Amino acid sequence: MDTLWIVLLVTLALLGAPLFAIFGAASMLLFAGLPDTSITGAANDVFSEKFADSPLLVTIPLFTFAGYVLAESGTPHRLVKLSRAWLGWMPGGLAMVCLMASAFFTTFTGGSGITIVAIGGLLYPALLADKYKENFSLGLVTTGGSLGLLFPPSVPMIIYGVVAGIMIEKLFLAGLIPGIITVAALATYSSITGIKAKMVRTKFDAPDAIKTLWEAKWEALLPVALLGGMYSGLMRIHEAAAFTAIYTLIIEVFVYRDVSFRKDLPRIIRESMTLVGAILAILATAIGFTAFLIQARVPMMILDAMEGLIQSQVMFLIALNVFLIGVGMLMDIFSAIVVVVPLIVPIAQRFGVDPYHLGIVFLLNLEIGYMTPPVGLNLFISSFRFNKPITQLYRAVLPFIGLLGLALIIVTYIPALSTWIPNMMESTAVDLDAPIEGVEDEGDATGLDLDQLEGDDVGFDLDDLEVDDEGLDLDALEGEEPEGELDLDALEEQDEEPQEELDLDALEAEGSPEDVQ
Amino acid sequence: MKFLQRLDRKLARGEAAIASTVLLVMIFVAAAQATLRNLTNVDVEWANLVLERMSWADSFLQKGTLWLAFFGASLSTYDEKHIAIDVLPRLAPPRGKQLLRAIVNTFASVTCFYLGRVFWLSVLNNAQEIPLEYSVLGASDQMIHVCDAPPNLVVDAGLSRPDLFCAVRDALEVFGAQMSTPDVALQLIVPAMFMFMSFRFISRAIAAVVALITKQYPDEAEGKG
Repeated sequence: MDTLWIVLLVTLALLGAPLFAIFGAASMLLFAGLPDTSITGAANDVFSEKFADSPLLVTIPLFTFAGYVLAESGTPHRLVKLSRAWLGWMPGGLAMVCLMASAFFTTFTGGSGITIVAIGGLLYPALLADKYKENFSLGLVTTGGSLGLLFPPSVPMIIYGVVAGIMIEKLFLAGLIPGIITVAALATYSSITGIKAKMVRTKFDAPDAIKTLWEAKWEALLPVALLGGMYSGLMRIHEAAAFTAIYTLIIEVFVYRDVSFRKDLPRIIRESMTLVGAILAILATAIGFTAFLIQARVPMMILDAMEGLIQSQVMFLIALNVFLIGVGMLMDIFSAIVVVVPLIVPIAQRFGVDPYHLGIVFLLNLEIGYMTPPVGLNLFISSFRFNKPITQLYRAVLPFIGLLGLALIIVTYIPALSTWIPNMMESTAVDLDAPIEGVEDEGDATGLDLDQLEGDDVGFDLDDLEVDDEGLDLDALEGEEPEGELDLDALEEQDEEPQEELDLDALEAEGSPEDVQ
Repeated sequence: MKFLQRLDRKLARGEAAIASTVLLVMIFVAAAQATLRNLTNVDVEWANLVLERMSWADSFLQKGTLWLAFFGASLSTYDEKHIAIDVLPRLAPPRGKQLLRAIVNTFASVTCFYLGRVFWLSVLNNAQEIPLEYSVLGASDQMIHVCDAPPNLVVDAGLSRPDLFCAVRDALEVFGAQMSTPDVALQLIVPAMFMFMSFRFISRAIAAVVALITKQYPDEAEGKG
């Protein structure tokens, strides 16, 4: 693609052209410049497991719909009342309420700005009435707009899972501790602010707290039921998404009666599907762009260029954070995931970064990017919603960006925070990442690693196996134990694997180094 | 112009109605699938039988998502809610705003047209492959699509003619698209919606040019829902 085209597309993007059209045009132009290659082949990827046939894609409309139903109902009110009754006694109690309610809400709405409108809209006037400073209050509600991104089932996490080709259930678990760290950092700051300003605290009233919990019991049960269902094996990911959608529909339409089936539901579906369409249009058109990057071996070229400059994992992680914060400042989260993830995953593998740790670092960077000047999406939403100049928002979010930056440093340089829970949960199943006798550590580029194979284009794709009708369903194998089929738990216990069954260990041990290059 | 706007509004309502139906059916199918799967785990026999009859469910959910994605994308075009870096359009004065709308909508329209063409070719390519369950061995040892084969050959092959799909296939053939399976036919939503979005974008570009010429700048809400 000529420099002229690049300049033209970047200009059009800055002028406000839809980003999916920019990716689509870039893909067509890039493929036109490749000899013996047709864009039709890349377009076909949209119908493959990379997009339409991905078992994860279906969860995006279902979770988004559930989030919109919650936003349109009385849930924000009940959630705020609940948090206030339980947390209002603490120093900075109302700020704490804002953080908790925002984190819960963003988890289900995927940081699409609904949290700022729904929770921020409710709490911003209350924060000012409680004498919190205007800039602190603005910064708090703006930060709340992306706070729950590391908790399941956030949509950006699912999209990351689709693009990186990793197990979303493991990624959800990986986000738990880092997510708690980010909330805790902001909660501490809120408490200190409350103590410094000598805010009046409400007394803890046990009967009132129990009453508010009882009122919000159906919503409070949702995350428990969702996570319990998923990790007990009762529900697969898309079934959990359907359960969330049907559960919110039933409680809001028939139990609380906040949403009218006839009057409100068509509008809610339309609004939620408009957002889904906007996200998935980018994902679909960026597939061609990604296919080009891989065909043109761009990640390998970047890797070669980096080889002299960056030699250790720590240096790579520092460079990654600087790069991703820049990305977060300039791109929205969905475009950033689809464009940048295919570039950095192979490079991170070369430096031995755990793919789930990488995912969390990536998402936390973009969580910060949501509110980073100049074009962080949440800044514009807050500016519009609270009628404040964008430059005031820039100032208001700075302390919050600093705190989240601190959380980012902790999460980036202590990988165990992201990998501990998934590894612990996995310890009862086959350990795909365990080093094999005679083969060097997984971080070594010469060792064959199934996660690498999953991410590698030329390699063996475990997700292919999962989605292929005639193939082997690893989730099903793990969740169920049908007769005559592969039992992964049994495999662990047996010394001798049955000959005709899939031997994952052997696969890892037999692979040649070339397979992963 | 007003007639086109009215037509566009009605089409958007139709799209929203289809998207709503698809989404609600998807929710119930996936929830039913989960319930039945768990019932089979506790040896409820009828659940197993029903689940076996629901073998289409996974494919339905995947194709349903594809349809939702592209109906949603088309509605995003209608509501002008596509994800974009919209700092300049926000800051621009009314005249500049219309100029930017004219430029970016024309670009998006041309891109969607070409994307529609690319995906049309891609679907036609996919349709060339006829799987065994849709093939019948003809008299001259040639494989014939089950919809084109004489009824006796279909029965001899142990297949049944999928009448609904064959009717849709005949209808699509008018447009030069000879589909091999329902799955491939459902993929046509992608080129169709890109073409439709191309129309929507160009109509918005024209509206912006008209506004520039007449110097009557509509407010942000005009043209939406």
